[in-house]
Amino acid sequence: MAEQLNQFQKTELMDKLKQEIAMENFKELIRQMSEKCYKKCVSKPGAKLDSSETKCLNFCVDNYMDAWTKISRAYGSRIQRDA
Amino acid sequence: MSLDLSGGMGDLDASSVVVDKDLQNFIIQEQQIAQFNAQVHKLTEQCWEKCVTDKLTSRFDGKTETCLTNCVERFIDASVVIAQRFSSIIQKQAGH
Repeated sequence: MAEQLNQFQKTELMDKLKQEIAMENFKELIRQMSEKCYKKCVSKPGAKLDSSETKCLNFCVDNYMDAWTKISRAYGSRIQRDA
Repeated sequence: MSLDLSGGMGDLDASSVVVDKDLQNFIIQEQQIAQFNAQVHKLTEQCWEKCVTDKLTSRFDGKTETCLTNCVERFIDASVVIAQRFSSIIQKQAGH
């Protein structure tokens, strides 16, 4: 029979899990931004990224993160209203 | 201490399994957060396509912001309509 975790081990395990979950969240956000911003900003891939494409990509990351936050708030408040 | 991942629940007497309440609650809570985030990811992908159609600037304009919020609200409304319609179809078929 497995022994019980002590309080220290428990806290450590929880922190580690939280970190991994947060990391997965970041990875998913980066995956989405790569897809959406490439689609939006690089319509005709040339020999190199030009300055307007780079500018667009930078705006796109700012905007995408902003959209994520806004949608998270809107979804959260909707769920609470419905509950 | 090590985790037995061999899948052998057979030799484990269910009554001897000690459930750690703290860990159980923690995992339930984290699962809910993860589910919420997964839904936000899906909504962001969809609403981005629908609402962010103009050339990007450093900030969203008011029109885009309203669209993003409406997009979330209407997605949930639409899900409710679809679920109701679907369940009424299933119930009708079950009645035959």
